[in-house]
Amino acid sequence: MAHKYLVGMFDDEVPMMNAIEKVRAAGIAIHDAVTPFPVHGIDDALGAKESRLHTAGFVFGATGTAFALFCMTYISVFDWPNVFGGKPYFSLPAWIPISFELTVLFCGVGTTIVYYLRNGMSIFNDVEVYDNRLSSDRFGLIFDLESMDSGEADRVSGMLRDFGAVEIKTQEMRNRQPSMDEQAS
Amino acid sequence: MSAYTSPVREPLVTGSKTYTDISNDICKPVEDRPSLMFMIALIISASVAVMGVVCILYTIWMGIGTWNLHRTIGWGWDITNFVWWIGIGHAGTLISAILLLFRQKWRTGVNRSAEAMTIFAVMCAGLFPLIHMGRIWDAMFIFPYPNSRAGDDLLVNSLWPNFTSPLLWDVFAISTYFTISILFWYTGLVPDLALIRDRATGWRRKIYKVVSFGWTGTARQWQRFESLSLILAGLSTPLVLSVHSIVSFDFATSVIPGWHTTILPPYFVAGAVFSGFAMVLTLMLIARSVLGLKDYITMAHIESMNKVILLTGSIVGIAYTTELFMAWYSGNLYEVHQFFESRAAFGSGPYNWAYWMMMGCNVISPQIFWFKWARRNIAITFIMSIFINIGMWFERFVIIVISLSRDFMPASWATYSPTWVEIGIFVGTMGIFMTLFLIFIKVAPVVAIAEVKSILKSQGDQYLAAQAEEDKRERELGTGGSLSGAFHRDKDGI
Amino acid sequence: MSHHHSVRPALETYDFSPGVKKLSLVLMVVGAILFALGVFTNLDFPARIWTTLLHNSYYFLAIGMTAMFYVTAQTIGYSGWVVLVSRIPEAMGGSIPVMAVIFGLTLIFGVEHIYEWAKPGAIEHDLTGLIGKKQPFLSKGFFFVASAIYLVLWVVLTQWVRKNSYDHDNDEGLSRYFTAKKLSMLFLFVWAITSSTAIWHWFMSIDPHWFSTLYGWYTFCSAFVAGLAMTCLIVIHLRSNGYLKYITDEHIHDLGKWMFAFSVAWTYLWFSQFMLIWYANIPEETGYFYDRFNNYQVLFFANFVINFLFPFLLLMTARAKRNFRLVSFVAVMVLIGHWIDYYLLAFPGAIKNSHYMTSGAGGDHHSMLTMAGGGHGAGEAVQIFNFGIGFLEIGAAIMFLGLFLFLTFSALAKHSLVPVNHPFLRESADHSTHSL
Repeated sequence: MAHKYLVGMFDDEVPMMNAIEKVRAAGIAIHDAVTPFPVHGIDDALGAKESRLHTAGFVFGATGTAFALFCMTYISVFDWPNVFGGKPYFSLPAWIPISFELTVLFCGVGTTIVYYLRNGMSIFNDVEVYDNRLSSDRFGLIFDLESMDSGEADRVSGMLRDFGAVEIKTQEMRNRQPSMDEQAS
Repeated sequence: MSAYTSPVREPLVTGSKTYTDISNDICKPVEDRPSLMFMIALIISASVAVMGVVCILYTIWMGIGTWNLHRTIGWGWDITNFVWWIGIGHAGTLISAILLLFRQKWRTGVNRSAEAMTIFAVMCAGLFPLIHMGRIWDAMFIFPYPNSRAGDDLLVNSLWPNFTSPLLWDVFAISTYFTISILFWYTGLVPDLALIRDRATGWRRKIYKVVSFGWTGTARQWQRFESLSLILAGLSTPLVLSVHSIVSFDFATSVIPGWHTTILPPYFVAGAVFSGFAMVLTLMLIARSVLGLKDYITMAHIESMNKVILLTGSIVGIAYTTELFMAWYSGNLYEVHQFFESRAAFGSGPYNWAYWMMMGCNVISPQIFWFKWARRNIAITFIMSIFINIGMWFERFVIIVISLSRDFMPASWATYSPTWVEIGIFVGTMGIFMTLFLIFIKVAPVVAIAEVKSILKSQGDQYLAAQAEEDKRERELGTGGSLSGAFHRDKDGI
Repeated sequence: MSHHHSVRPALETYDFSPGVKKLSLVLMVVGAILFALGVFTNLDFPARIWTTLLHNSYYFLAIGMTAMFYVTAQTIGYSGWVVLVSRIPEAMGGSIPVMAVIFGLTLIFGVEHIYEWAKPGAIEHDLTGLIGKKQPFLSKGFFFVASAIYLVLWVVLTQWVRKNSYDHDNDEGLSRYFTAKKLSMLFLFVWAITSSTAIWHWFMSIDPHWFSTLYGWYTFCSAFVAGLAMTCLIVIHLRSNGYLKYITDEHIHDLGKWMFAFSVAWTYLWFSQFMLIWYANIPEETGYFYDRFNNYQVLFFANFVINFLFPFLLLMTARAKRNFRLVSFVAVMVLIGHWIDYYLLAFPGAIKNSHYMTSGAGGDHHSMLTMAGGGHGAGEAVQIFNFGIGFLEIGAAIMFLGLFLFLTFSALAKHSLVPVNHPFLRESADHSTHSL
C-alpha cells in the first residue's frame, strides 16, 4: 500500500545531528534516519537503545563449547573408546582446539544469522529506498506524512531548512516502511 | 562528531575529498567497462588456473604417484603450499580484526582487499590437503557424522575420526576460519554493494539489489552493523591466532627434530602475518595505481604496512635464532644435527641453501625498513614484498622437507624434488588466486567506502590542515599548547 | 557543535599522599618481619630463602620493565588515547634501578643456592653430562657478565626513555616526541632480545636439563599482564582520589581490554607450551610439568584458573571493563596469579636441586629421576613441600610490594601527571572507545 514520507536531506552529518536534537526537542517524532555510514552518537541522539546482539553471541558461543565437548566425550569415551598414542580416552588438552573452533563457529554463524533476521535483510527483500543518494553523500531524516497534517508537515520542512537541509522532498513508497522503533521490536 | 585528531599525524585521505568524491572514486573501477589491460590480466590468470586444474585432475585420475613423495619425505610441496597459502590469508584478518581493536585507522584503506585475499588464499590452501588425501571422493569421512562404516546401527556402530589428531583440528580450524572470514567480509561489503545498487540502473541494479540483501542504511541497521563488526572482530582475533597455531601443531605435536618445538605456534602466526602483508603489498601497490586509488591507499598506509613487515620479520628472526640456540642448549644430538648440519651450517647438507634463502629473504633483507626512505619507496617495497613471499615459502619448505629428509635413521635419509605435476598445481593455485582477485575488484569496491567516509573528518588532509590553522590561532591567543599549528610532521619524522 | 574546542589538560602535580606513603612503609615493615620469621625457620634451607628473593625481586623488576614496554610500544604504535595514562607506567619504570640492584645482589650471593649448575662439582655429578655440554652458557663467569649487561642496558635505556618524556614537559616543539620514538625503538629492540636470553639464564636454567623455545615469550607475557594490572590499579586509585580528571571510563575500558586480551594471550602461550610437551611426551621435557602437576597441584591449577578464568569471565562485557571496582578486583587477582606463575617457574626446580645436592648419597640420581618419586629421602621432602608458600614467600611478596609502591609513587610525585606537551594529548582527552 502506497505510503508518503517527508525526506529531509543534509550534505553533512553535523547539521543533521543538530537537526535531530532540535526536532526531537520540539516534540516531533522522527520516523527514521538513513546515512551512508554509521554516524558516531546518532543512537543516543535518536534515543535508540543499545543493541543486544552480543548477548545472542555469548549464548551461541557457550552452546558451541558445550556441543563440542559433549560430542567428543560421548564419541571418544562411551561410543567407541580408542587409545591413540597412549593418551587417555578423555584427552582434554587435545580437545581444546576443536572446542575453541566450534565456539567461534557457533558464535559467529549464529550471531550473523540473528543480525540478518533482525535487520530484515535477505536476497528476496524487495527493497525501496527513500533516495538514491542516501547511501552515498546525503544524510536523511525521514518523517511519516500519514501521521501528520499538512500544517505540521510544513512546520517540519521549515525547521529542516533552517537547520541546513539541502533538499526536502515528499517521497511516495510502494510499501509502508517500519519506523525505527518497529525495527527494534 | 568526530574526535580531535592531532594535525601532527599524516592524513590518511588526501586530495581534499568529499563524501561524493569518495563514492565516485571507489565505485569507478566497478562501474567502468573493463579495460584491455584488465582483460589481458584476467585471461592470463584464468589460463594459469585452468592449467592448475588440469594438473589437479591428472593427479586425481592417476593417483598421488604422479608426485615425487616417498616414504621418508611424505609431505613435500603440497603441504608447503598449503601452509604458505594459509599464512597469506592471515593479513586480512589481522588488518580487519586486530588492527580494529588496536585503533589503527590506516586499516580502513586496505582491509577490504586484504579480507578478500584471505578468502581466496584459504580456498587455494584447502585444495592441497584434499588432493593429498589421494581419494578425494572420500573426503567427507574427515567430518564426524553418524555413519554406517562399521555396521547398521548408526549411533552405536559409527566409526569416528580421531579427535586427538592435529590433522582433524586443522579440518575444524580451516573450515571455521573460512566461514567466519566470509561472514565478516561479506557483512562489511553489503552497505557498499547497496551504494552501487543505488547508483546503478537496469539489470545491474537488479543484481546488486539481490546481493546487497535489501540494505537501506537506517540507524538501526548501522547500530547492529557496528555491534556485529565488533563481535566478529573479537572472534576473529583469537581465531586467526588459533588457525596458524593449529597448523603448527601438525608439526609440533610430533617428536621429529625441527618440528617439535614449543615456539612454533606464535612464530607461525607472526610468519603468517608477515607473508600476508607482503602479498597485500604486492597486489595493492599495483591496484592503487591502476585503479586510481592513491588518495585512499597513501604513502602513510604503505609505510605502516612496511613497519608491520619489519616487526613481524624481526619476530620470526628472533624465533629462528631461538630455535638455533635451543637446539644447541638442549644437548640433544638429533636437534643439533637438524638445526646445524641439515639447516644452518653451509656445506654440510643438501638443503643448506634453502635455509639461507629463508634467512636472507625473511630476516636480513627486511631490516632495510628501519630506514624511513626505504619504507616510503614504492620500488623497494615492491621488491621486498616479492622477496618475502619467496622467503616465507622457503620457511615452510625448510620446516617440512628438511626436517623429514634427515630422520633418526641414517639409512632412510633422502632428498626430494617436485615433479611437473606438483609445480603445475602450485602455479595453478596462483592463477586461481589472481583470477578470483581480479573478478573481485571488478564486481565490488576494493576499498571499504563506508569506513573511509567515517574517518574522513578525522583523517582527511583538508580537515587536519584546518585543525592546524585553528591550533595556531589558539596559540597566538595564548590558549594553545606548545605544538599548536604543527601540521603533518610525522611524515618528516622518523 | 564543533569538536575543535576540546579540552586541553594542563600540568598536574601529585603529592605523595601520606596514606599511600604510610601504606607502603607498613607493607615493607610487616613484610620484612614475616620474611625474617621465614628466614629464621628456614636457616637450614637456604635454597628456599634465595629463591624467594629471586622470585620476588624479579617479579617486581619485570612489572616495571613491562610497564616501560607498554609505554614504548604505544609510542611507536602512534597511540593517542594512552597519552594521559602514560605517566603511570613511566613512574612504575622508576622502580627499575633499585629492583635491578636487589635482583643483581640476589644473583651474586644466591647463585650456588638457586642453580644446580652453579654448585661445586655440578658437572661431575651430572650423569647425563648435559651441564658440561652447556658450557659456557651455564658457567658463573658467563652468567654474571651476561646478567650485568642485561641489567645495565635495562636500567640505562628505561631511565633514558623516562627522562626524555619528563623533559618534554619543559620543552616545546616536536623534537622530544621524535627522540621518544627513536629511544622507544632502541629499547624495544634490546628488550625483544634480552627479555628472552635473560630469562633463560635466570629462570629456565634452574631446571638445567629442561628447555623450551617458547619460554621467553611465555614468561614475558606473564609479566606483561601483571604490569598492566598494576597500571590499572594505580590509575584507578589516582582517579578515585581526584587526580587525572580527564581520565574517563573510556580509558579504563581500554586498559581493561588490554588486561583481558593479554590474559587470553598468556593462556594461549601457556596452553601451547603445555599441550605440545604433554602431547609429544618426550621424558626430558615432560619431567618439568610432571613435577609441577604432581607436587604443586593446587598452585598448578590456581595459576590457570586465576590467570585465565577470572579475567576472561569477569571482564568479557564492555560494562564490566568500565566498572572500576570489578577491574580493580580482577587486577588484584591477576597480580597474585602471575606471582604464582613465577613461583612455579622458579621453586620446583630450585627445591629439587637443593635436595639432590644435599642428599649426597643420592649422587647416583640426577635430579629428574629423584623427582619422579625416587624415595631417597629427597622424594619425601618434596612431598612435604608441595604447597610451599609460607611466611617467607608471603613476607617477601608484601615487602617487595611495599618497596615497589614507595618507589613508584615517589617517582609519580616528582613530575607532572599529564605530559602537557605531547602532540597526542588532546586526542587522549577526547578519547571515546566508540571512535574507531
